[in-house]
Amino acid sequence: MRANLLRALLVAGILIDVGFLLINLSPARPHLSARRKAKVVMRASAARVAWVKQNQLDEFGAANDIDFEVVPAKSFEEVLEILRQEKAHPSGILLADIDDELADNARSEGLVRSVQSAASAAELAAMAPTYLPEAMSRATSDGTIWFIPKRALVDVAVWLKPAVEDAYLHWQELRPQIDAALKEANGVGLPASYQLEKSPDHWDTYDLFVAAWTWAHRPAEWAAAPGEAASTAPRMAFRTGNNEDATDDLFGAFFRLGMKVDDPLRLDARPVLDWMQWEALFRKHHLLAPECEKPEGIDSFGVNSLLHERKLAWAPIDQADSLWLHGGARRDGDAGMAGASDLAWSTMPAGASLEMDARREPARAGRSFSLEEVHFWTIPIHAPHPGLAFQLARFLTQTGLHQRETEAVGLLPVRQDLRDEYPVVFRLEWMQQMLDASYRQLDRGSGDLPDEVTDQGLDKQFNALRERVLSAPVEVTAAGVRARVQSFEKEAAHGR
Amino acid sequence: MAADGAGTGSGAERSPPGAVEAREPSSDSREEARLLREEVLIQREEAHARDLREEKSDRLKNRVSVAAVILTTALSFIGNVKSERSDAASGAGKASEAARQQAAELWSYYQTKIAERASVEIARDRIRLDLSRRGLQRDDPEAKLDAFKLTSYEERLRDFDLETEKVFFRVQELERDQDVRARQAIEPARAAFRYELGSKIITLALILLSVAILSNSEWLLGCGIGLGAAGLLVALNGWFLFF
Repeated sequence: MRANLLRALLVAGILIDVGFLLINLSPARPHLSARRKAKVVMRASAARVAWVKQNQLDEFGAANDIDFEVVPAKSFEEVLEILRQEKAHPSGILLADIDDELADNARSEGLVRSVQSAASAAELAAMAPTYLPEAMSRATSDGTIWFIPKRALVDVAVWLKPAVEDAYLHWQELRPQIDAALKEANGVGLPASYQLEKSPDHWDTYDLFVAAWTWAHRPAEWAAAPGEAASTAPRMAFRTGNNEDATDDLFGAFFRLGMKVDDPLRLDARPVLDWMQWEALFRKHHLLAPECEKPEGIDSFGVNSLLHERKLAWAPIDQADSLWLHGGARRDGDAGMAGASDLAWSTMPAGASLEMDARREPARAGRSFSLEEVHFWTIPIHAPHPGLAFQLARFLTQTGLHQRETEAVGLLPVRQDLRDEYPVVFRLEWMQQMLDASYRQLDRGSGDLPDEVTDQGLDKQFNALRERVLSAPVEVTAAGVRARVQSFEKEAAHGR
Repeated sequence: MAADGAGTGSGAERSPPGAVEAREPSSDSREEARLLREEVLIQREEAHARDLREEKSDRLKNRVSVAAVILTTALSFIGNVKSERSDAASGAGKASEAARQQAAELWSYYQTKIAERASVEIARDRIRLDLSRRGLQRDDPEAKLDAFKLTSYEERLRDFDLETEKVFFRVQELERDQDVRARQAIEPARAAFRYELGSKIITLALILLSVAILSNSEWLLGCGIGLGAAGLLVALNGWFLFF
């Protein structure tokens, strides 16, 4: 018995020696198990999907013996639908991205599992301080961490420096007309102490109107291609129509004009009436790009294309679109606009009512505000390896990769270290300026779109109201706008 | 020897010489023979015990030798593979550092370019401000030189932008390389650490085996083999990286 044991030990020892000899021939870690397949759902363009796969997923896949397949989605609604399908018929989705608006739906429908159930206490403790507190608070519900912050986006204003310079130098030549147009709306004209602010970072709605007027009534040399005659056209745009971007612009304007997060979203709320009056004034004088006035409206793709063609002087934009517009973010990216060094970014203008007080100053002054989106990584309820999914999400949002992703495809970093050190980490001057404006916007005013807007279809209702107010003949007085709103409310009540 | 002396002394004094002489030699010789047999037996037992001890010692030595040969061979292979993994980790680390350094140098170049760009930008703005103060347009005949310089500055600014963009792309690649290489160093470094730990445990096992020979202790042999096996497992995990 003992002899047999000794013989077995001897044989095992010899085999181990032979084993180590063979290891010497191939010292790298062996890939013993069969390569697994996993899917990652992403709302992204084909170019972004390709970048993420090549620069992030492939590296993780090589280290963990996984072949990744990216399932692209056009919208987060589509991502939600894919998660519903996945719950009913699991197909091996390891991770999906979702925005903060739909994250609650995914959670309440039981489509996803909490991060807390997929990670150890030590991993969670290490994760929490990594991300911005505001992102973590959105990722947490009832004390449970459900999601892993992926990226943030906030709209800021992008503008062309020569265009703003032109407006600043020449607006006073058009002051009588501007005054007359405003007087028709508010009975006063421009505020008593009005001067166009030099920097769009300090603009309010009056500055926006004055600049838009000036651009719409002066030939834009800055927009002309070399050898081409300068033309006159409206040079400002907001997103309009029935699309997510237009909803953000519309409700963002209400918040800029004083709406509070907890205020009930009434059609005749003061900020709504104030913005509708401004919209009517812009429409009456055709100060926005013609595409904004079309019944179908214009989404961010349309506005970005106009910016790219140098047809616009000012428009709202987020970080991802800013990188696309500028170009120069990565070697294999699309070419940016001509003369991209003319681009500059600032916070959204502060709201100010058209209505004046006794001192001929705006009766209601608002603030700069923009709606912020936070996107998360989420683990589907039947994810094959939840622990691995957590590791992947952490890998994808590690400092280096998050920084590269910011530089290459554009986002507002959700990592605390990158926010703290962004002036050091992002050294391209224009990118720094864009991030400066974005973080300044967060400080000056930003927030979520109220849930009831999409849940109760208020986006469509307010958009229909907007269309009613802007229908010809456009009425620009406060009383006229109020009458339109009231008639719309009555019809809506009858319709119900 | 004490039994021998007592028998001869006391018998010679008590027995009469004639009667006893015929009987006593046979008794003595029997006793002697018995004693001799006993002594031989004892010697034989002692020799047997010695043989057993020697056999046990030889067996121990053999086992220690076999175990030592196996462990030493493994140690040698582990040393090689550990060295290879350390080199791989260090190579990736060096490549990462080289990429970092190259990126830093390119950034310095970028900064220089930006400073140059700023001076050209100031010159361009000065001409524009001057034209504005004089109330002249760019295409005014009076401002031909200004327009000429202005065009030149604008072209240089455009070139600067193109150049800095190229520098940025290169820096982007280098920084990516720096990160990827740094991550690539992690796995070989983990493996090298485990091989190192395995080597140390095996070395300790070899020391125990040496002491086992000196002290002729099977218990220490067992401990040495156990420790050696643990060392081999730790080193094997350097390859598999299970934990």
